[in-house]
Amino acid sequence: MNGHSKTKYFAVLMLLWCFCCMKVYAQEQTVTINLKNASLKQVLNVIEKQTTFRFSYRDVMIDNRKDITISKRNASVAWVLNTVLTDRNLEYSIISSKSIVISDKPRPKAKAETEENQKRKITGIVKDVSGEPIIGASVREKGASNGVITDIEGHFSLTTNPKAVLVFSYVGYLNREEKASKSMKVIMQEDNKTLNEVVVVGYGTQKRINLTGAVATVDVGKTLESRPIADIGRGLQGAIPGVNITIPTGEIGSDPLIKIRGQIGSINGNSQPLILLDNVEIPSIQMVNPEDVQSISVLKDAASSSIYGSKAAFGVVLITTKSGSRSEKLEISYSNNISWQNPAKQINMGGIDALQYTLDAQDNRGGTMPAGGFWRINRDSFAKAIEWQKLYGGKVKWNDPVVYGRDWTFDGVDKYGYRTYDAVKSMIKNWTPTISHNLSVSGKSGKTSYNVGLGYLSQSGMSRTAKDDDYKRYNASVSLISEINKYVTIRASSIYSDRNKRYPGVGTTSADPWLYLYRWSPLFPIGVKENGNPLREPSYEMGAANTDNLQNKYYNVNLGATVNINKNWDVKFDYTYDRQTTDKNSSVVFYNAGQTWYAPTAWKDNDGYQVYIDPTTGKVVDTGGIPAYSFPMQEYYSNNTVNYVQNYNKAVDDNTFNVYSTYNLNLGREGQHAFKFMLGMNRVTKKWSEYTGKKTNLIDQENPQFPLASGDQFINGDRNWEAQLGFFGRINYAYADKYLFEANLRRDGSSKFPSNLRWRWFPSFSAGWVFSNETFMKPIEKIWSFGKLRASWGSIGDQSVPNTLYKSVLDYDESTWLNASNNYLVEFGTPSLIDKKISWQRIETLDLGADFRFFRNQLGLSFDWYQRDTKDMIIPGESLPVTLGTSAPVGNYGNLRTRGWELSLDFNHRFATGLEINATVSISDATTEITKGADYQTPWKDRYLSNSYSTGRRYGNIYGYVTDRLFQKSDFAYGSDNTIQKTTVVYNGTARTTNQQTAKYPIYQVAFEDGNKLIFAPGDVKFVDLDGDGYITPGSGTNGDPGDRKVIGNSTPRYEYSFRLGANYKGFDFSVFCQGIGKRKIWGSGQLAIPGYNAKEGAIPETFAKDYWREDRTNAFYPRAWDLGGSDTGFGMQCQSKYLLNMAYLRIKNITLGYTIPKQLLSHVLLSKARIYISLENFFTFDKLRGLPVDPEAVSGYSMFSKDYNLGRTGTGTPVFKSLSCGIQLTL
Amino acid sequence: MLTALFFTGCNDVLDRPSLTTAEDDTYWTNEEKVRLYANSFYSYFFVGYGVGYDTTYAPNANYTFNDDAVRLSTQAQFARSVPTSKGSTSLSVMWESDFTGPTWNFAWIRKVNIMIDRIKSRMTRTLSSEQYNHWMGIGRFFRGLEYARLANVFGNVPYYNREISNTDLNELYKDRTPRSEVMDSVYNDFKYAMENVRVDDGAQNVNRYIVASFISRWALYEASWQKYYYKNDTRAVKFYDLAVNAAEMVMNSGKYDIVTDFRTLFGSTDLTSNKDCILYRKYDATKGITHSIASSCNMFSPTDVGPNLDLIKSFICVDGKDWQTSSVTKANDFTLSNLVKTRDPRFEASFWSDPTPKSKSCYLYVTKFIPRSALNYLKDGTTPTAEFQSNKNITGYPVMRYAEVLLNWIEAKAELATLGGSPVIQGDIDKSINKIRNRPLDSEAIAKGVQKTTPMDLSNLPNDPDRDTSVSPLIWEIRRERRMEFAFEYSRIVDLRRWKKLQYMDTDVNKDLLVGTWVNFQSEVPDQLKAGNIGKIRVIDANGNAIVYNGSNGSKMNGFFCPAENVGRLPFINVPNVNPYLSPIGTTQISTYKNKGYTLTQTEGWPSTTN
Repeated sequence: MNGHSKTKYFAVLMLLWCFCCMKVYAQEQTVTINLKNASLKQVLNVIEKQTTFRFSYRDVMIDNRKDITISKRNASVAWVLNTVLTDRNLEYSIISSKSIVISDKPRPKAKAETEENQKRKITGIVKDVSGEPIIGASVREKGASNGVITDIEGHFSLTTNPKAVLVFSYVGYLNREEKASKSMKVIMQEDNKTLNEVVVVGYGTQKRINLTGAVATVDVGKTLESRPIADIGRGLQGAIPGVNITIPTGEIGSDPLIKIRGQIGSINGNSQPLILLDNVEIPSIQMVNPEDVQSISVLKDAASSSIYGSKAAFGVVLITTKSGSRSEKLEISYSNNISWQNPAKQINMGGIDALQYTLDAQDNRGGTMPAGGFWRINRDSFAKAIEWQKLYGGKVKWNDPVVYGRDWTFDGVDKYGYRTYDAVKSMIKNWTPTISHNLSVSGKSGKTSYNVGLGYLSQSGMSRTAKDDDYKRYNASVSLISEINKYVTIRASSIYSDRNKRYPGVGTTSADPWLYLYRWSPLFPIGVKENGNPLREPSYEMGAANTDNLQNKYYNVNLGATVNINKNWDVKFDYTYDRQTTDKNSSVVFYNAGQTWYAPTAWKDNDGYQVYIDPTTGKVVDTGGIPAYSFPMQEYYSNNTVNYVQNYNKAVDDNTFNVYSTYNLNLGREGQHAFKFMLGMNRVTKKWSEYTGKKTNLIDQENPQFPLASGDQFINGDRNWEAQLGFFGRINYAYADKYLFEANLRRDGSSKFPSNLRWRWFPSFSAGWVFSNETFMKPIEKIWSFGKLRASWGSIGDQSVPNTLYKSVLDYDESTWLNASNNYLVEFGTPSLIDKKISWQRIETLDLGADFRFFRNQLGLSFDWYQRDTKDMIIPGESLPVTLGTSAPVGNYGNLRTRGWELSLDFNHRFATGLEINATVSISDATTEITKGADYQTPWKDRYLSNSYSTGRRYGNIYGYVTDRLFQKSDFAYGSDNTIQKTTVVYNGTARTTNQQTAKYPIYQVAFEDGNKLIFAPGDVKFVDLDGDGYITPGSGTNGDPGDRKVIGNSTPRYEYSFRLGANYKGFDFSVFCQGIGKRKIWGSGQLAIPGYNAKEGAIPETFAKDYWREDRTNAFYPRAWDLGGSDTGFGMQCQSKYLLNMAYLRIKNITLGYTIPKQLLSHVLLSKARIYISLENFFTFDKLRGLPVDPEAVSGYSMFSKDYNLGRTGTGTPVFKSLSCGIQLTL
Repeated sequence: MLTALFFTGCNDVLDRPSLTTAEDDTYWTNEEKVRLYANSFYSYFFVGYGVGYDTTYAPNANYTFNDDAVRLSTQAQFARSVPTSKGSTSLSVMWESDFTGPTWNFAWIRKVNIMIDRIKSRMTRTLSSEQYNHWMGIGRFFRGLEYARLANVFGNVPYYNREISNTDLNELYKDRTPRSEVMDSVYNDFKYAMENVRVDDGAQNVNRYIVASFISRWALYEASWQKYYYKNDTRAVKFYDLAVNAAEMVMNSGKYDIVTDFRTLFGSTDLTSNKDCILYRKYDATKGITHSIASSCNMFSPTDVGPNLDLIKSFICVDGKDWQTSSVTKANDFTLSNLVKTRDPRFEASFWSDPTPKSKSCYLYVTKFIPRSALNYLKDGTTPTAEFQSNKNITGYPVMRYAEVLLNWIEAKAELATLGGSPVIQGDIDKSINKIRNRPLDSEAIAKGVQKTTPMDLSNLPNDPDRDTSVSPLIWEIRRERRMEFAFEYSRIVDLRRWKKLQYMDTDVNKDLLVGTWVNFQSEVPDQLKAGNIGKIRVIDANGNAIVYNGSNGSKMNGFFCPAENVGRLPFINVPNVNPYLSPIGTTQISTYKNKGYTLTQTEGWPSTTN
C-alpha cells in the first residue's frame, strides 16, 4: 500500500468515525556499506548518515588505522559494529534509537564465582556517555532493599540474589536497569529533558525538538515546589518570557493578572489568555493545586494556539495534572509548608510633618484657618501637637485611650487634635501564618494506574482586628487509567476545589477599611478607645463587623477513552462536565461607637454632671479646670442605612466534548518523511444563573441569618447561556528531523454572533529547520549541539466581546425614585446605538524564532520575535458630537499591532566534585501601537492627545509637561513691601494678572492660574516652554498643537526580566529567583501618588512630608504644599515628567535552601525521599519610588472585588506581603 | 453532504440568544413597557434632596450661589474663561454649577425622542387612543422640559425632534437653533402635554397637574428672559400667557391648597397626598434611598455657608411692610429673638432662632430642611439621631409645591399687566400671595411669638427705600415674596438671570452680601469671647463701625457678624469676553466642528478660543 492511498483511506475513515485495524511494520535500521581501507571513523560516519544513530566515544579510543574493508547491502548496524570492533578491543552499547556508546572492553576480572544458587558479589563501574565515572550514583537490586552508592572512581560492589536486576539511578540521568553480571560496565545517559522532553501542545504532545511554534514550558519542579505561594499564577511570575503576571494587591485569595505578549490585544475584548486544565477551560488559576500539576505549557503564537479556536486569541496556558504512575510500586508523597507574612514594603506615612503640610497648604492657597477636615489644625494647635510629642511621645503607647484636654480639645465649633495616631500599627497584623499540606498517592496495579491527591492551604490575612480574615483551600483529585486491551484505554478523573475566603463585612469595594489606612490625617483617633468605649474608625469597624464569606467551589468529572486502532493511529474521546459555584454571604450590622467625625458633646459623669479636667494634664478635677467633651456614643451603619443579611449565589455549568484522532505515518526510506495528521472537534456549552437574596432588620446582630431577620426581603437574579463549536485539523510533516512543517485549520462557530456571521475559517502555518542535523554542522556539534530556526503565521478569531453588540438593548435598572408604595421604580434604559454589521476580530501573529544549544547541550538559548495584529478590532467609531446623545456605536473599525521579542538562556553544569549548578535568564519586551483608531479619518494634526486609542499612538503613552525645576524667590520681582509685584500679561487676547518674573524672557504659566489665589509663586513647579512662545499652555490638545506637552513616559511594563541561579551539592540545594520590570511609568492617583492630592483629608506619605518646598528647604524634590481638593492634576501638579511614578523594579522573588537526606539513612525509616527546606518569598524589592508606600506592581483601582477599588487611588489596598517559610517533602 | 449535515445540526447548539435582555426590536408591545421606559425620567427631572452625598440640584447644599448666601472665605466666582471642553452623553444627573442647569448634553433628548418615535411608529395599534395621547403627552412634556432647561443655560441650542442616526452628520454637526425656534417647539410640546396627559395616572405618577405646574415655572422663566434679557415683548407675552394658563389649570382643579405649616413641608417622610405638594420625592432607609440635606440643617454639623444680611433684610415685617417703613415696634432691631417675632413666619421656619458659631460665615443657621423634632436633642445635650446625620436622612422633598404655582401665576399676571394685559386686581393677590401668607403656623412657632403677616393690600403696597427702581412696587413685592418662599431652594439664581439682575450679586456694590446676622456676643454667645478668637471675630455695630475682638472689648461685640474671611467675588459684570448670563461651550467642540467643515457658534458674549 503506498503512502498516497493510505492517506486517502485515512481521511475516509476519519469522516465515518469507524475503526479498523491496519498493520504498519516497524522499520529496522539497516545500512548499506561499501568501504575499502577505511578508518573506523569512516565506518561510523556511514552509519550516522544512514541511520538515526549518533556515536559517543572518547577521541583517544578511536585509532586512525585504515584497515577496514567491508561491503554489504541492508546490513544491520549490529552486524557492522560487531565486524569492525572485534579486533580493536572495543565494545558498543545501543543506548537508544539515537545513541550508541563505544567504549573499551573491560579487562578480564578475577575468577568468577560459579555457584548458581548462592548470593553473589557483583562489581562494576558506572560512567557517563563521555566515559567520565559517575560518583554517588545509586545502585540497588530491583525488588529488594539492598543498594550502594558508587565511589569516587565510579566503582561499586554489591551482593545480590541470583538473576538479579540492578537499577542504576542518578540525579539528572535516566534510570537504567541491567541484569547483574560479574563485572558490569554501565553507561548512564543524561536525562536531556531540554531536547527529548515531550511538550504538551494543543490536543497532543510534541517532542521539543520538533516544535515549530512559540511554545514555552515550565520546569514545574523548580518553579512551583517549596515556595510559599498560594497558586500557580504567583509561582509563574517571571518564569516564562513573554508572559507578564502582575500581582496588584496583597488580597489573599485573589487572582493574579496574566497577560501573554503585551498588555492589550483588543480594546473591547478581554485580552486574557485561555487557561486549560487537561483541555478544559477553567475560570481561575486559583482552582488548581500547584502540587497536582504535571506540566505547564504556554502557547504564545497563533500557530500553536489556533487549534483551540476563538477563545485562544491571546494565548493559552495548558496545565496537565498528574495521572498514572510509571512504577508498580505504591508511592506516597507528603509535603508541607509553613510561612509567615509581613508587608513587603514599609508603610511610612507622615506624622507631625503631615500636619505641617496641611497647614502650609492652607496658607499657600490663601484659605481660612483652621485647616484640615473633620479634625482641624491651626498654628496654635500645631504648636501643641509638637509639644505633645515632647511630653508624651514614646510615653503614651499607640493604643492607650484617648484623653480629652491632653490629646484634643473642642472650642464649640471645631475639634483640634494634638496627638498623632498610628494607623499602620492599628490595622496590620505582623507575621501572619500560612500553612499548607499536600498528600499524594500513586501507583499501578496490572494495567490500571491511579493517582490520588489531597491539598490543604490556610492563609491568614493582614487585618489585626478582624474576627476572621483568612483564605482556605481544599483540593482533591483522583485519576484512573486502565488499559482494557491492546486497543482500548479508558480513563476517568475528577478534581475538586473548595476556596473559602473570610473577611470582615465592612465598607464597600469603592472604600474599604484599607483605604482609611492611608486617608485621614494622623489626628484621627485610630486603634484607641475613650472611656472604655470604642471609637468610629476602621480598625474598630473591622473588628466589630461580622465575617463575610466568599466560597468558590469547582468540580469536574472527566470520562475519556483512547482507541488505539494500531500503533500509529488513535482516537481520543473526552467528555468533561464541570460546575463552578460561588456563594457569597454578607451582612451589615450597626456599630456602636463614639463619633469622632462630627461635634463632640459635653462629657457627663454617671450622675449626669459635667466633668471638668485640668487642661494641662487631662486629669479629671473636682474644682477648677475646664468643661470636658467626649465623643457621643451612637449606633450607626457604615456605608449603609439598614442592617441586613445577604446571600449571593452563582452556578456555572459547562459541558465540554472533545474528539480527536491522530495518525502517524512514516514514508520513504528509513521513514524520513514523518507525517502526523490530526482531526477533531470541540464543543463547549455553558449556562449560568445567579441569585441575590437580602433580608433586612437582623434580630441577632452577631448571627446574621435569614430566619433571624424580620424586615423587608429583596431578591434579584439573572441567567444566560452560550456555546462554541469548532472543527479542526492539523498536519505535521518532518523530513529526517531536519525540516519541519505544520499546518492547522479550524472552523469556528460562536453563539455570540448572529447566524450569518457565526462561522469563520482560521488557518495557521509554521515551519522549522533543525540545521544542527545537517552534515555541515557535524564538525562543531560538540560546541554547537543543537540549532533550530522557526517561523509561524496564524490567524485566530476573537469572540471575547459582549454577546449583545449586534442588538439594540434596553438595560433594566431599578430607579432611586420610590413609587407610591415605596418600591423602586423599575426602568428600562435608552436602546443602545449599534452597528449591525459587526463581526469577528481577527488576531494574526507572525513569529520568528530560534533555539540553540551549545557545549553538549549545557547552554541553551531561545529567541522569538513576533508581530501580532488585531484586525477589524471592535472599537467605538469616530467620536461624534454630543448632539448624538450617546457615544458612537462600536464596530470593526480598528487595528492594533503588538511587536515584541523574548530571549531566554539556560545553563547547567555538573562538576566532577558533584557540585551541580544551573542558571536561567529571560528577558522580553512588547509594545503596542494603535495602527487604526476611530479617528483615522481625521488628519493627524487634529487627532486629540486625550484619546488613548488615537491612530498612530503607542499604547500607554503619557502626554505631559516637562518639569524644569521649582520656582525660587529669585525668580520673582519683589516690591518695597516685600511682596511679589503683580504684572498683567495678555494671554489669548485676555488680560491676566500674575506674579512678575525677573527673567529677561519670562515664561508665564497663566493657563493654570485663576488671577486670584491660584498664582505661581516660589516653590511651585516651573515647566519647560517646549514651543518657545513664552507661555506654558495645553495648546488645543491635538497632535498638531500639543502646547508644551509631549510624551513623557509609558505605562506599559517594558523589559520584563528574570533570572534564577541554582546549585546543589551533596544533598543541599540552593536557588535564588529574581524578577523585575525594566521600565514602566504612571501618573498615579490619590494621596500616595500625587503630592497635595487632598491636604484636607490629611494623610500623606512620609516621602512627601519630608521633602516638599519650604522657604527653609528650597532644594526640596516636591513643590510647596498645596491642596488639589481630591484631584490628580491641577495648578502646578499637571501631569509632568518629574512626578511620574517610576514603577520599574527588581524583586528577589524567592530564595530557597533545601537539604535532601541521603537515601542510605532513609532506608531504615521506609522513606525513599526526604527533603527539608527554608524559603524566603518576595523578601527584597528594589524600586525607584523614593520610599512611597506604593508597591511597584500596583494597578490603580484594581482589586478582586472591583475595578474601581478604593476610589481608584494608587496603592491604597491590602498591603502586598513577603513571607518567610519552611517545609518538608517526604516520599514513601 | 456529511459536512452540511454536521453544520446544520451544530447551528442549533449555537442558537442561544440572550435570555434576559430587553431588545428594541421586540420591546414596544404594551402600555406598561412605555411606562417602564418613561420611569427613568423621574430621578433625573425630579431630584428632590438627591441621593446619598450626591446633592446635585438639592436645596441648601447646592443652591447657595446667589445673593442670599455668604461663604466663609472667597465667594464662589462666576465662570471667567471658556473651558477647553464641555459636553457629555451621560444619563446621570449632571449640571453646570453656576448655571444650575444641565450641561451640553443631549442624551435625554435622544431618550425622549426615541420614546416619541416608537409610540408613533410601532404602537398605534397596541395603544388605545387615550393611552396614545397620554404617553405622547408625557414624552413631549419631558422633551419640552429638557429643552427649556438647556435653553436656560446656553441660549441657542441645536434642536432635534427625532432620533438622529450616527451617520446623519449634517444633522449631528448642525449649528445652534435660534432660541426662539427652540422655545416655540417647547411651547407646542407643552401645549400638547397640557391637553393630553391624564388628569390622574395613579399616585406619584406624572399627571396633567404636575405637567401644568412645571409648565408654569418654565413658561414664566422663558417669558422673563424674553422681556428683560432679549427685550422681545411679543415673545414674552406668549410665554407669560402660557404660564398663566398652566397655573390656572392647577388652581382651577381644586385639588391643591395651602394648608400645611412651612416646616412640615420639608421635614416629613411622606406628604404624597398632601394638598400643598403637587409632586413629592420619598426616601426610605430600608430601601437604601436616603439623602444628606437634613444633616446640614441639624445644628450639629458646622457650615461655611449661610444666609447673609441682604436676605435677612429682605424678609418683610408682620405688618406687610419692609423693615425700614414698617410700623412694627423694633422693626429695625436685628436681634434674632426679635426678628423671629417681627418678621414673616417663613423667617423663623427657615433659620435657627439663636446666633451660632456653627454657621461660620454669618452665625445664622439654616434649619428649613429638617423637622423641628429632630432638633430636640439640643435641649438634652445629646447628638442628633443617626437618621439626621451624614447621608442617612429620610425626609422627603416637595419637588413641586402649590405655592410656587401661585407665585408663578401672580408674577406672570403682573408682568402681563406691564405689557398691555389686564391689570392685577386685589382678588388676584388674595388668591395667591395672601393665600400663602395665611399658611397655618405650627405650635412651636406660635409659642415663640411668630405671627402671620398681614395680607398684601394692592392699594397700600410698601414703599421700600431699597427697591430697585427699574421695577414697579408690585413686581418688587412679588419678587420679595418669591425670595422668602424659596430661600435656599432652587430658584434664586435662575430668577436673577431671567430678570437680568445678576448685579445684585456684586459684592463691591452691596456690602450686605458679605455680612451675617446681628450678634450680641456677650449675651448670646459668650463662650466665643475667648483668647483663641482674639483678632478673628468682627462685628459691624449699630453705627457702622467694624469692631474686632481684642480680648477686652467683649461688651462692644454687638453688631452684624462679619468675619474678615468673608471675601467678595471678582468683578463679573461688563468684563470683556465674559457673559455671566449664559454658559460658554468648549473650544474643543468648536474646533472639532471646524475641522469637519461645520460651524458651532460660541455662546453670545464669549470668545471662540480660550481666554
